[in-house]
Amino acid sequence: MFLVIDRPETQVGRRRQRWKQAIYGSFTVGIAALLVGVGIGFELVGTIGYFVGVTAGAALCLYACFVGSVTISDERFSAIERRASHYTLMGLAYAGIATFPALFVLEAAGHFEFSQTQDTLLLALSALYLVWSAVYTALRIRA
Amino acid sequence: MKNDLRSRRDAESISQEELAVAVDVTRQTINAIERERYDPSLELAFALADHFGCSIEDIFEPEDS
Repeated sequence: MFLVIDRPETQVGRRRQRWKQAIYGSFTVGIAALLVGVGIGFELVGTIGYFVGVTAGAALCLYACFVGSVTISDERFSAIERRASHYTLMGLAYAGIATFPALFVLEAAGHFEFSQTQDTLLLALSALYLVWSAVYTALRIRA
Repeated sequence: MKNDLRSRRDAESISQEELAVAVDVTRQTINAIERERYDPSLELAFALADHFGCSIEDIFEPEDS
């Protein structure tokens, strides 16, 4: 895989690149602050650094998308995000449908016992699909 | 979807980035359309057709035609 470095040739392109660097830079600084903080035993400082970095990145991203005049993302990126979300949700759904009913049967038969982690995972998956179903229904009614 | 965006862009001597700025998308999206890896929305197709002063059918045609 090649690392392609974009060298914008227009002013708009350079401005777009500066925005992207600022956004990705903020996220990177936040994540690095958290890792370094945890690594050297300053968890609270790391967490604050993470919060500041991620909040700044999100704020820059929102500003660039809704207020700024630079196109950071476009319809192709949205389409890719939609496909990624679709594949992720479908993958989790198939994995859940294939796994959990079988585990319930095994538990009922006395061959298996759900651990705390598995219970939490099942709850998290259920909550995710509950939210997805609500959003889907709302969008379908409006469509 | 097949398209002749590359040749039209070459004829105008503009870069992918300049075309991207003109139709308000990223350079990567123009590149993906030229390589026929992404089919643009109707809105973007109209913007491209408008930029080149032609109709959508002049630029794009279905794969099986």
